[in-house]
Amino acid sequence: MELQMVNVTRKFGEFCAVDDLNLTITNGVYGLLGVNGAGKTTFMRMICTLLPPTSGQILCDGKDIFQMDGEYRNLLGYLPQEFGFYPDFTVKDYLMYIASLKGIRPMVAGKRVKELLEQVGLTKAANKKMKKLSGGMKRRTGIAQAMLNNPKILILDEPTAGLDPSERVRFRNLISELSEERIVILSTHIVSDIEYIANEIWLMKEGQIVQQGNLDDMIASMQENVYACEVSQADATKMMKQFKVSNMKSERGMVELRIIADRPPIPEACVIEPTLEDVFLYYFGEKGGETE
Amino acid sequence: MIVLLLSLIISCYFAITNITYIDEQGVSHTGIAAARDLRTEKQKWEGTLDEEALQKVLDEYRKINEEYPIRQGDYTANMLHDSKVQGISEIKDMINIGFCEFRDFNYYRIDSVSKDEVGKLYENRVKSLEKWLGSEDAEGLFDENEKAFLLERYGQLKAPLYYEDYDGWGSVLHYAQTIVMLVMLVSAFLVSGIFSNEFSWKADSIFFSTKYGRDKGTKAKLTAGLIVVTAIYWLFIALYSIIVLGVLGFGGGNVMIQTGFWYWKSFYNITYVQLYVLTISAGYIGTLFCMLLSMLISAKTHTAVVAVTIPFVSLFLPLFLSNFHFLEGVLGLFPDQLLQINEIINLFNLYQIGGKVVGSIPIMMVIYPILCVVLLPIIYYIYHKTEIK
Repeated sequence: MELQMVNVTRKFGEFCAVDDLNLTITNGVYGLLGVNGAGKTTFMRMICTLLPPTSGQILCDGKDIFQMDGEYRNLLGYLPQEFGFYPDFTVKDYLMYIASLKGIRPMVAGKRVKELLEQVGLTKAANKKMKKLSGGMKRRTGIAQAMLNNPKILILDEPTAGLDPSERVRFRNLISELSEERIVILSTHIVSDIEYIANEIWLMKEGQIVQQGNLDDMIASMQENVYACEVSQADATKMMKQFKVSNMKSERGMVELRIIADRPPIPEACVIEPTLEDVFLYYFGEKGGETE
Repeated sequence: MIVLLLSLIISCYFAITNITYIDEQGVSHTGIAAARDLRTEKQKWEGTLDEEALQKVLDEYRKINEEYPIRQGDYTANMLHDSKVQGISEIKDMINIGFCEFRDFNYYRIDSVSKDEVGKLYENRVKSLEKWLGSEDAEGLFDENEKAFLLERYGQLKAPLYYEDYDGWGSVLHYAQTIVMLVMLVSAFLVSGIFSNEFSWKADSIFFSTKYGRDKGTKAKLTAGLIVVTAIYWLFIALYSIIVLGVLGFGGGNVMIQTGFWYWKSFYNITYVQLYVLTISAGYIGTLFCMLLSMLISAKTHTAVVAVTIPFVSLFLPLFLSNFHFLEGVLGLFPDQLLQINEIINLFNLYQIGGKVVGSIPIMMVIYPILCVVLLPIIYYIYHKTEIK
């Protein structure tokens, strides 16, 4: 299975949400990182045929996905960022409904729903109404519906948003488990999710992929170092204005800073191992997510 | 559905109690027995209303007037008079309207109709129309083609008319438009969400990214809309008709609608059964059209708020627009007209197609089914091509 984006651009009036994107995607887990408004959701919606590109083509094994129509969507599983549901449906009814929209025969769908409910840990909640589910349970139902047709292309937009830490860990493991033999594209701004499960990471900024590769490639792409140092509260305030600070922790009147810079911020600062969060900050800046 | 059931019960009640029988003591009754007794009275006058029959009615009426005269302010005396007249009341009203000027009605006109002239009732109908069309009142309303058409249709009415008690059909028609309109308004609440629910619940992305969401899913939604409208409409119309006709009787279906007072001036030469079929068929087409329009709006706007107002707009916009006289022609073809055929049937709404004069009803009965058929692929296309931005 190969998904290809050829010069894909999507504009909304004058605003260019996705700008001349060229990508070749084969089986594996892809993590899409970017600040709000970077074009992640538009990018995913185009892959899901919810939105046609203004120009360019998206090809699945060489065929235009919009021309493939239902044939392509048969390969697709999608969990959108805003996962809406039918409040009065039970979990089971909801999954059966989506199964019918996916063209799964009722007999097969019944078995598949049972399997998936087990896999996402919702067997006991099968007859619970959707409106009575917790945030985590809804998300798990969301992943179950996306997996109903055993998709070759699984698109997950902010799948862990709003989940508590234990649910996030559980969810990440579930995605890893499901990721074999298919394309999984995962969009999030929770960096640690991607760090754990993505084989390849894409950094998206202003509609373009500004950096791509595995975690090591990402770290290697940084032109600056990550420094750790301990300073007073007053110095910390000054340094926050001067440098990109990826973390700060106050302890016993002193502040421990994690700084991305091309030179040591103070002579006592020591170089430490960067993480994907540092990479994110390096590319997008501290206030990257606040532009919207 | 509760609203509809209540409306059905109320409409049936009014339609049934609309028929009143006055007994020999001058006491009025409604209900099954009253309808049966009134039918018995009217059955005595069943038959062809030729000159002889009309003269008999005239004789009978005069005899009643002598024996049971109407007395100003004497309720009992007047009720006794009505009790005696009720068997011939429809024929009496027909004579009243038939011998009045075209735009007038005199309840006591029969008093001055002689036995010699009563046989000219049908001839007089055509003549009074002809006179009115040539008068200042009708100036500028119709061109020569249209006048000729109306006179031709009047002339085509096969006289003498056959009379039989048709109270059941009369009553069922009288309240049919209430039921039709209520069914339409309630149906709007049911169908307006069919194409917008996914958006209001934010389930649209998943729906449209599934294999069948855009095609079979859309078709299923359209089918669901059609089934809901069709099932509700015919269920309530059938219940209403069966109850009312069951109580008041199915007789008189083959009587021409011009028999009696209500449709005397109609140029549509049809029977009560035909008018009933026309009324409920047109009601269905009108309801279906408005519902499809609602579905189209909800498919386009992704919200039920505007869609649910479509039937209200269809019903009330013409009332507002009727203030603009230049719109009269167009208003005669608005979908609300389909919901009130039993009133439209009396109007001279005429149109010319290629020099041929046609009434508004046949035009609407052709145009609106075509529009319904055209709307189906449009709704499908709009929903099928939905973009989730």
